[in-house]
Amino acid sequence: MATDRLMFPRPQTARVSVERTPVESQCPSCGSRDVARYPVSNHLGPRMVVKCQTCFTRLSVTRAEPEDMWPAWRSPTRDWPASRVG
Amino acid sequence: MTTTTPATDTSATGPDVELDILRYGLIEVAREMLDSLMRSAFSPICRDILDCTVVIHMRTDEGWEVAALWEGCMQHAFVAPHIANFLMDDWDIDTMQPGDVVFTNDPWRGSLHQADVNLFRPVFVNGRVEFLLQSTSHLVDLGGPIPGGFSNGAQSHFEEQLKLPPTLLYANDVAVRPTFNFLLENNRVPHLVLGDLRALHGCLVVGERQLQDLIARGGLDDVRAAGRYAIDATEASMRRGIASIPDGDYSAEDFLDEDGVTDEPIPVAVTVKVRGDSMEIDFSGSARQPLGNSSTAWCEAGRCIEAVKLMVDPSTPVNSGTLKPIDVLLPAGSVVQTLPPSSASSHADIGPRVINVVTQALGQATEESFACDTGTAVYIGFSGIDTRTGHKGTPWGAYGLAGGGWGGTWKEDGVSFCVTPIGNCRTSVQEHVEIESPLVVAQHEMLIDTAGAGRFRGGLGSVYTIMAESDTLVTVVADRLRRGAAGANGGGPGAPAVGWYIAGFDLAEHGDPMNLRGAEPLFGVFDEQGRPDPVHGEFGRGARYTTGKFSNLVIKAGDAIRLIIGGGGGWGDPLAREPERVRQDVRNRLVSVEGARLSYGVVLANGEIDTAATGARRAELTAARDAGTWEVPIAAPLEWTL
Ligand SMILES: [Zn+2]
Repeated sequence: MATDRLMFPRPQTARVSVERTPVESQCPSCGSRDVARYPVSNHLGPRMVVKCQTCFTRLSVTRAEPEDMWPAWRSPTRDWPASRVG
Repeated sequence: MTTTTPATDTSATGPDVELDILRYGLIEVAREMLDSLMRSAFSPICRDILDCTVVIHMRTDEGWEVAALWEGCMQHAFVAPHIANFLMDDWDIDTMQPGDVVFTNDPWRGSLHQADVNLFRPVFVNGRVEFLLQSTSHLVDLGGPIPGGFSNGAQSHFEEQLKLPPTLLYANDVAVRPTFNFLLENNRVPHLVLGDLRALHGCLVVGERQLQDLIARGGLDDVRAAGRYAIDATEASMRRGIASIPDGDYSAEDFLDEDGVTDEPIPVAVTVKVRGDSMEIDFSGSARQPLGNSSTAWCEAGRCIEAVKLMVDPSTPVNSGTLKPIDVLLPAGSVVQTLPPSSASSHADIGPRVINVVTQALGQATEESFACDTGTAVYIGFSGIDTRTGHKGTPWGAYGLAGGGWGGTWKEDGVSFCVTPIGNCRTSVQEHVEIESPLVVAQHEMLIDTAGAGRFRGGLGSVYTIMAESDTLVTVVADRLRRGAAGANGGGPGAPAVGWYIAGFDLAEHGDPMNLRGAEPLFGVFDEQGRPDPVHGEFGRGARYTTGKFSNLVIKAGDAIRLIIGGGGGWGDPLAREPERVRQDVRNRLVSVEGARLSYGVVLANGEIDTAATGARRAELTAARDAGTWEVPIAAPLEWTL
């Protein structure tokens, strides 16, 4: 639904954290198996990275999938055709 | 599109002169844009305070990258890259035409807060958008319940200023009337905002003309290659700086006093992870978004990198290369990434706090560290309807930035009387304020004993006293009320912020800021007699507010507000500061004789160092510190008159 990601409740916990999801993979640079996928902000904006946690080699940098909720909010009209004025 | 990337290590081959000339050509286009903007803006916030910046974004395969910019104010430089990409994710580039200008001020699309507006103009070459020019400035007003943009007390963005997603402001250089009507009809100072919007548009026209001229001379391919060269060179320099930090995870925690709604401190936690020439700045463990307006929606993703830039690569031009080695992790729903419909208008304390905490974390990794800056701008917004002869009935708005101190560093004292590093804005030009607004700036000067003590002390804070000639509505945004900026490596904290209301202000009677007669406490830590005393006093004692974040205070005509902003934290043991430097500070009225004895263990008699007494005093304080009965005191002016 277009308007499903405009308003959010305040988190229940007093502090909040970014979750790093372990990924079955091996770092091509250092061989470490400590690889994780998580949301970051890079020089362009919000992205999902799969990254070696030992040496920070980025195995992949992609746009978030809808279920990643990254960022949580999004434009309600993002996939509508654009008029001359937007 | 493919652009060749020249080698960025120029030591062996020498710089590519052509590309270097074009790289500086891009920076020169930006410089002319900013000159045009500040010369033609109507409001003091843009024209005098320089809370504005201009940017040249370059189209790349991945998105939009900043090739060059010119600052009025540093924070805009660090958040601009994301705003451009959010905007272009939203806007169909195929509908763009030459002379279009798209406007947004949405915090969830990267804007610092609603008051900071961003205009974007596509630059076409051979029918294709190749560059995007951006002008950005704080506007004096954008409607909402509270003038000026810091909506203290608001708990949702519905109660704040107008918030526009990307919206067409000019079509083919013709003003889009509905957009202008919307902005101007919902505004307290439409004449100022119209002037500023036209200036923001005009500087884009200037920028496009200059950029097209550069492209005509250099060729598109070479200008793009020069943009890439600029980004790569900055990235390489930033990476060299990061690589000089030992690999490791460095954690620190600081806090905001509260959010102006509840009285709970708001922790800001960070872990800075360094791996080779890459870095992560992870704000996991920070507080959830507060109820009040003290959190930001996205901008800390870029702004926190200012701390790294200042520490490891202070001299290269800022562009997207500055951001490239770093991933930032912002927990959703936290104080650094609040979720709608939260309020998000008060960015001026969380911004410095984020930089402070990254500085503190990196300070563990390097000897070449520095202590925290004041950590709050002590922003004051003034507005009202003028009642002066010749100005009667004119709506007006003005700003004051008290200016604090930067922290002491590993090699020198901090910079005094200077706005926090988030912005490096100037304060208002006092003469302009007094002509354009019914205000008299009675004093704005450095204040003794406000700098954190250290081997290298912090920069000094200041006192700012403004009298109203017409009834004036005031918003204040101040933090670090209980304890000032943290010191580093054994240095002491700077002085906390304090505010008073002075009824019937008379310069002859109230001109001495150390004289408390007739001064009603607004906020701060006070002793039983009403002296500010962060060491022994009680927070909020006898004061009108128990927060430094309030709006709708009315200064009646003839009355005044006085604010103290503390200085930066000290770096290193103040008992190891050269006594001669302490003597010079006392001679220059930056430190009192008593302050020298209490914080530095330096005993002065008739302006000269008593060497024996100093040695004894320092030995006594060192022993007390070892025994856990003494710590470097929080800086505080001492010589009050009741
Ligand atoms: Zn690795």
